[in-house]
Amino acid sequence: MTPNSRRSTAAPWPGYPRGAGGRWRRWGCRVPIPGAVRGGPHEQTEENRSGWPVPQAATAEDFAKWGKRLGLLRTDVTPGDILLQFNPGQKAFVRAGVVVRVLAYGWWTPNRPYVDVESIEGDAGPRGELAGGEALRVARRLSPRTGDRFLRWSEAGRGEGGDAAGEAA
Amino acid sequence: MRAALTRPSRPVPECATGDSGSAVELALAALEPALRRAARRLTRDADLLDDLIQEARICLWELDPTRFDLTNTSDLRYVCRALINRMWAGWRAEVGRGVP
Repeated sequence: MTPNSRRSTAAPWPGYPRGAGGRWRRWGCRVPIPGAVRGGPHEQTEENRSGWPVPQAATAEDFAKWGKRLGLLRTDVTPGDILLQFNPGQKAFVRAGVVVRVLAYGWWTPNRPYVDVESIEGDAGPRGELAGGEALRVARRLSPRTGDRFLRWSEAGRGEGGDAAGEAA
Repeated sequence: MRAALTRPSRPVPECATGDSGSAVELALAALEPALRRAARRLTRDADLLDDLIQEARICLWELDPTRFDLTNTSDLRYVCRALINRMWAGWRAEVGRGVP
């Protein structure tokens, strides 16, 4: 269940932002949370509030900063992660999306691995380009050697990242 | 009445999809003239020139142009520099093997 599916007037947590028309907003576009993360530590609580700990962010770089602070950036991928695509020219993360499934693993050269994923992204174009203006399901090739990372947000709240939900508020 | 009951409900919208693999061809079409000019400065040999262009294509495929905004000057400069460096490396390897 997502915050929008209930039409509740109560915010999932204090300070949760509302968009135009009073609908709950998440980072730029409404993206379904993959079923892979259901039953995790961020399942709906008994108070009927979402425990999703990821804060609203204007850019992928904001996600990266949050993930880095909590030690959640990974080079390996799991469905449900938030992918962060790195632009080595700008030395910044330029794209975020939700990984739906892992399609394949491979190597360009023996020390340059890559992973093909299917993701759901906002502001993408039909060729996966930046600023395409659509929410799409995109097949994408990412490489940790190029700087790409995966935000394992489902581990926020475990161990040292225990204060994640509090930070999001 | 029966027709109303059997009438299909609203069509289910298909999920819009994209494929980042096709972005390489688009970027290549935009960059190839500049790459060809750069390769011509390195060699007059037509076969070697084609090999260098091929090296640049592989480099672009590995870089993945979807992470760049090629209308942005700094991104365009970075991509061109990476591709030309790759062609330089290819040229040096070929020259090392005695190709003019």
